[in-house]
Amino acid sequence: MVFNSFEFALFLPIVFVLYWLVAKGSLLFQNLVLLAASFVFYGMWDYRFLFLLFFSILLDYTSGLQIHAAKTPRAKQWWLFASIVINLGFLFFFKYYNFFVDSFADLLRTFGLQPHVWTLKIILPVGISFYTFHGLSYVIDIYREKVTPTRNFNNYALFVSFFPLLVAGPIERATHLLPQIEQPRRFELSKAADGLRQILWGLLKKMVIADGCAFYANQIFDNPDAYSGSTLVVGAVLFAFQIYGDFSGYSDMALGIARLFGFELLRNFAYPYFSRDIAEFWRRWHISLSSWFKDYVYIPLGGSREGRFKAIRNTFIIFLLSGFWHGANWTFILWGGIHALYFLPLLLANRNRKNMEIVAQGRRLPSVLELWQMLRTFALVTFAWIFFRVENMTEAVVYINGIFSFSIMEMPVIFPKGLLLLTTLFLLAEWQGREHPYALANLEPRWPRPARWALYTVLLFCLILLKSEQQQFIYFQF
Amino acid sequence: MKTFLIRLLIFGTLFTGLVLASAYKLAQPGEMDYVGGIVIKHKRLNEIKGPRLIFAGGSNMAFGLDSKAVEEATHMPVVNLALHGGLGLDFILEELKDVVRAGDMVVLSPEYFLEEGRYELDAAVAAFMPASEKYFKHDFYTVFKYSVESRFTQIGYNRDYLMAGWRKRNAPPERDYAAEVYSHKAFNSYGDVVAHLDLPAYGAPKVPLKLHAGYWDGIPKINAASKVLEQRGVRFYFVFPAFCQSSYDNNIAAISTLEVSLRKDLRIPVICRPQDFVYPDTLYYDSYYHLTKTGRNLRTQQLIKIVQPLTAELHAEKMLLTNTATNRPHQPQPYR
Repeated sequence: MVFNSFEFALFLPIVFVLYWLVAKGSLLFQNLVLLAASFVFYGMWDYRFLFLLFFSILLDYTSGLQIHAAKTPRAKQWWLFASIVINLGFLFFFKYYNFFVDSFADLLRTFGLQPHVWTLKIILPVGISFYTFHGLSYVIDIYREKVTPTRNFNNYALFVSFFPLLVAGPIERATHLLPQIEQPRRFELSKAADGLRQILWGLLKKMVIADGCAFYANQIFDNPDAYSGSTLVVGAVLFAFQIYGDFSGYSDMALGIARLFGFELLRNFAYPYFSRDIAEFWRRWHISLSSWFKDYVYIPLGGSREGRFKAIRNTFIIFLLSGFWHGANWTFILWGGIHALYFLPLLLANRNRKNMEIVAQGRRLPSVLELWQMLRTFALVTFAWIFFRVENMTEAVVYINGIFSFSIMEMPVIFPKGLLLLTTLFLLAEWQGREHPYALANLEPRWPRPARWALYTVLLFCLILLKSEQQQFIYFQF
Repeated sequence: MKTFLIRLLIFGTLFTGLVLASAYKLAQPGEMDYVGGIVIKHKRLNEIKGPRLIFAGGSNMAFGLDSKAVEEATHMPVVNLALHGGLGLDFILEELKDVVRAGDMVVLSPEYFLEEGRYELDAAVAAFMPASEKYFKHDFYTVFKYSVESRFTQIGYNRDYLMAGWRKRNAPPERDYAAEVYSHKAFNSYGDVVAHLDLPAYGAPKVPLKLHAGYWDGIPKINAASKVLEQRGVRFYFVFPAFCQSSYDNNIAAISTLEVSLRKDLRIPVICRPQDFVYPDTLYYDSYYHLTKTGRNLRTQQLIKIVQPLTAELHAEKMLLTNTATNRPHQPQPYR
């Protein structure tokens, strides 16, 4: 069941009514409604993986209590170690086993050996990377004594499996979400209306922009050797908008749905394509994952405080890990490596925290310099997306070779004017709303109700008339 | 909460009213009428009393077969039951299970990795031939979902219709070829699409199709149907679809993998190679699968070569049965 499906359009109002009207006033029942809904939501993907999800919840719940109760540091470490090994073991098995076997076999073949390869037909449980990271952050925070473990199993299970964030994040922290689960929630009209607005904006991003761009980007990426360099550039740009619309659209829907139930989830996107350098891009793209790696990998490794060499090493480690987190393929690792290379000059020049404020804050238009910086960053990010999108390194070489050929001077064969116009309008709307959590967030105080309702109607008709063939959410595969 | 629900209700009612008004049926795409061809096909099926040679599948077979030529070559009455891949493999197989009888020979040619059908097309078929309702799933939930989604789809059709009207007013085309081909009148009495034969071809789309190889649930579905057909005394064969050269070249690996799985796992004989029905893009009318007149002739000749020995075998068995056992009931031979 995906957020932009008919099934979910029925599921959400049922859960909403049960939550606010039937379980009204009882925190226990409200949490149970959400927990049951979350398991139904997940079970509709593949009910067999509910057992894996349940085991993961049980493991981290128990580990958390044991770490907290342990009398000696050694006992604490043992429980932390056990939790990390088992969590990552499952992740490794389901996501990376075949990758390592194949890569090792390839390595042996380069030495002239012919290994007997034993790969498995493994189905990747949807959302495993996300809920594993939820659980890990919980036990690590307990170990660091940042969080006191909850004794309420239902609450912990809801923290991990809350359906808006279960399959594609944002990756939540116990310090942020658990207190919200443990406290009574009151219905707030403005919050609920805001939630619906954010869901609408997310649906537009996904169904109109992302799916529309996917239609053409897929054609181009499926046959890179059939197109001119200029068409390949168009393909890369379309993919850049596809992945942004797809993932940030999903995140918007997740945040909006959570807000309908009175929860505030961590923000995952903050207009990343308006970034002036790569460091700013990574503060604005998939924020919950970047901050996870920063808090649980980069800083424990010493961050940038233990000399230049360690800072460079740590930067490469987190970018490569981030790439590897996305998928068991060398293309993702290379994608992470390219971003590390982009980041390196900023780190060495101590300019990685230069652009902290919102671009052109308080102004309608950016300066020429800001515009140039944004375009440059977008070009760099788009180039790296090629590695993210291709299926293997050979395709990447074909694609890049195609771009850096004389055919880049030809007119692109695929140039969907209507879609590009629509994407431009979408970007203008995002630019207009860049000082707010999402583009439509500032409507309510400024626009009178009839105007707002007229706008919602227009946007809903845009969804009906401009939606493209439904594509699977890209981040579900991670 | 009350305010929220009241506002939601008011907005929802206004919006629903607007959707219903915009979804007034101004026009529908040609394929909704094209599937009405099923009536002709079933009429021919019912008219023939003895064993029949039935070609089933998607539009690759509907557009790519000269049934009369096959009939003359094989001396078996031919029915081209193939209609539209969008109806889905389940529909095609259910239809076969419903219509076959002992002595029939069935040649199935689904498009590559054919999946579940589109309910709107299945429902459109049922509007022409209510008996076809048993070929597809139409439980309460599916019908409810379709009744909602069809309103949204209709708004899209209306938009296309109005935009086409606007374009026509500005630059009227000489003829609307699509309207001529995608209609229930496109078929001859055998069930072959013939409306496109003398029209200028558009060629296969410039961008080759990309097939995504993987597990195809069509194999177990065909196997399940083959058991039923076998019990009825029907010979059942699989052939690959007609496919344009550029898309074939682009998917050699996926098609080879599929061919290996089919030969290994399918219960029915696969009686050709994928490349047997691969033709240059210029021999395609308007899609990766729809052959032009020349392409259709080439494919028909190729099909005759493949099917003729099988029908000859069938005739020989029939002769043998007639000569040796006058009063014994017909016992069809297992086909594997």
